[in-house]
Amino acid sequence: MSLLDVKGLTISYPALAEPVVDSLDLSIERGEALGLVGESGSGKTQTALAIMGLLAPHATVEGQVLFDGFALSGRTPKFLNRFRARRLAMVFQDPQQALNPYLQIGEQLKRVLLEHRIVNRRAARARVLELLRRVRLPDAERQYRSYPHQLSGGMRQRAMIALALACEPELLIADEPTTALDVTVQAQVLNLLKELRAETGIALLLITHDLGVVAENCERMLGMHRGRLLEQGSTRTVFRNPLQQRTKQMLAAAARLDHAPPDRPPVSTLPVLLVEGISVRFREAPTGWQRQRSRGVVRQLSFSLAAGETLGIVGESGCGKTSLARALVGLVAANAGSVSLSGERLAARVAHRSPGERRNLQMVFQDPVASLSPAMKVGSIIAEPVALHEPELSLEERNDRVAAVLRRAGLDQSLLQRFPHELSGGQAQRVAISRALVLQPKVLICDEAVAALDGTVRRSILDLLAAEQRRSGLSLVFITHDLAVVRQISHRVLVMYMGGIAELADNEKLFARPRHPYTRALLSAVPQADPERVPEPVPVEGEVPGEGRPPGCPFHPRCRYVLARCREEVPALRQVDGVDVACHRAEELDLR
Amino acid sequence: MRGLATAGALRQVTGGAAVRVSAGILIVITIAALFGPSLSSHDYFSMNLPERLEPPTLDNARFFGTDDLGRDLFVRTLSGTRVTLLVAIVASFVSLVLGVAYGAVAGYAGGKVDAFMMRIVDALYALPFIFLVILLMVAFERNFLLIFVAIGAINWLDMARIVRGQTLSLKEREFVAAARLIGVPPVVIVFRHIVPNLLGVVVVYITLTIPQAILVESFLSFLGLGIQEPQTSLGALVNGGVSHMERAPWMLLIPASLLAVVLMSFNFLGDGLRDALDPRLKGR
Repeated sequence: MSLLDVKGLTISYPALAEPVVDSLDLSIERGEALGLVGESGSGKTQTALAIMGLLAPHATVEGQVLFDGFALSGRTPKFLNRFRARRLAMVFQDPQQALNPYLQIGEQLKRVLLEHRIVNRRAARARVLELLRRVRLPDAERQYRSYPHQLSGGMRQRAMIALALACEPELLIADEPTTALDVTVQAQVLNLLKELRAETGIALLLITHDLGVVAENCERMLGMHRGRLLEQGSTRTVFRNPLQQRTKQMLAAAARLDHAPPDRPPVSTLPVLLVEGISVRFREAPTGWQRQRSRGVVRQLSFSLAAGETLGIVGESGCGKTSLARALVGLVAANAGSVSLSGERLAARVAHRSPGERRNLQMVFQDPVASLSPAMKVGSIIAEPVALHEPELSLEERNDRVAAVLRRAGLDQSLLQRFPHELSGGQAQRVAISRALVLQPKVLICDEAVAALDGTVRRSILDLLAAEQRRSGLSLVFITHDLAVVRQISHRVLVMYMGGIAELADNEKLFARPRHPYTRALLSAVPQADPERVPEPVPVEGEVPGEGRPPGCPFHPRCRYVLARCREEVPALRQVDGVDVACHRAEELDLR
Repeated sequence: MRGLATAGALRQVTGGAAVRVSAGILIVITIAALFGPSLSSHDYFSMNLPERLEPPTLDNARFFGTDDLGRDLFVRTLSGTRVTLLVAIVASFVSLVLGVAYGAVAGYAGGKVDAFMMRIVDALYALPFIFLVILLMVAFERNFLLIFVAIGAINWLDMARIVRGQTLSLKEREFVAAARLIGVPPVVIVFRHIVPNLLGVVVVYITLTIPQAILVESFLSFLGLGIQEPQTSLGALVNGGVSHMERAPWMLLIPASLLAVVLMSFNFLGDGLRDALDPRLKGR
């Protein structure tokens, strides 16, 4: 008998014509890891919630959920609560929301243990500490007394896993457990799950949109599309011989670092954007009696961008890449350094730049829906920049301009009358790109422009940008945390760490032979959509320090190749073999 | 260019049943208040002591009876409603125009401008309201318009604070950043990109303001600072009715129920408007 057996699960809502999950069958054996993949809206999370009995009351659920031969459907909440606690547990995407902000981590764990009478009051503390150690939280005594906001994202997710494991369940459902984390931290958390499975024999239902995560962590996988089962089988078989067309598309859209990038548009030698020694500092709110301090988030960064070139900027969250983007376009004023566009030095703030300069430097934001005004229709949103920069155009000429850019963006003209909330994420991002492109800028800065989108949609947006680049010789600064995206579209890659450049190299060189240990760690942390590959368990320990820059090389506390010199002396950016790298050991290390 | 939600909003408001009924009631009451008094054979100020405290009857068109001075309550109630509605509309209009513009500009400008503008609001807040009204009465002649000025003067302060708070969070949103990058001038950003997105909050707050204005007006009238006899308002009629509650309950019940119906209708209408003005809720 399987540990979990779901038969003919159908979930529907009165407001929706189609069921969100339609006659789904799935089963999990003891100790097995099953990956549930699908794009957003495919019904993955609804399935998990149905198994847990956590669906909203107005959802209609049909079909059977058998846990260890025991029907879970139609039980009272009180019974389910007891049953669930000891046998199945769930970890959510956002640990910040799943943990109680007013309770210390230890206290939350203790309450769970006492509520379900796992231990008595006297033994609770020791058991909590043991759980915290088991999820490899450093300094368990201190974490016991920490509040959730005092922990980093990765540590919070570990605490969440400790909470889920408190009652020693037999099945753990993890819903996108690492989507909100950086790749390096994602690798750490996934490795923890692997080790816990080996230790306790717990079964895992891993829900994710990332085929790489499934390939590296699950023996069996199940693909979903629009609420229906797409395909299931052993991970190796599905990757090798996908039966469905849709699965093939999903696999093709899963970008891989080991695949050579497609042909990118040619680059001219003409520099269009020149950034010299740019620094951004933020003033921190004064705490208590301390004097107000400021924190450097971008430090003396320089680079240039040629016409028609794509520069990828990568780094973990908090490395200053978004602040850099905002300083380039002038949304925040840089504290030092300069930005020049076609040889003209730009004012620090966008308000002080000339209309021509503004027009030539445009930006696309991460959240496509938030970057469109909710009260304006698509037509007005795209027409606004035209009306502003070319007021002499007649209404017809303006409408023609809007229609043309919309066509190039692959959008139907009927969308002009829609409001942003009526668009899908991909459509909204195309509208945001159209608004920027309608001005025919020379440089477009994309800040995580595809991070919120699903694999196939992401692919089509990248294709759109490349087509535009071929057409008009547009230069792109593409900021992302996703190395696979950078691999596909960029000519050169800039790796940022704590506000500075760790490495700046050609796409081919960087991926073939990283020169900086940090680049190397980032590369090997990316989950590859290739079940044959044996991934490196934990490419880099720890997380980016929240405050306080370490002396010497900023990366040295996490670096595997650290020397005494790295702790004292800040490495300068220098050329090694045609690559700009800031590492003392760049020549001697072979990081392939 | 103005792809605002307003045009669709009015259509949308006619959607919900409660909203439709409320709007209908308000329209009927408004028409009655405007034209009713002139259709009756009585007027609102003539006293007729022999007929004092008569209960409602169809004879002689005394539909709502008479008050303690023998004046016709039907006509007095309708002309009182006219005054009440006028106060409510003018006060909320002042609060809408002044409060939204002031709050949105302060919030978007930020920094020192914001601090200065909001300190002015704080200073006005600190003035005792009744003192302000008495001061106005002394400085100018006792005047119908002064009530509007006084009520509008306090209401827009709250509105400005609420709008400023909302603007502070809206201006950090990415669509505002995108507008700045395009080069949209700040004033246009405030009125094209920020204010339309505030309308939901503003409408809800207006529905709170209207009843408040009506209540403040009746309070002022009670103190003898508001509407002057023989002119009247619903609030003044309720106050008059209280003193004859036992002998002539209709003097209290009729204007009080009308006041309640007006207040509730405004609330329902406000709820409906808020949903209609939020494009995200459309089509549900």
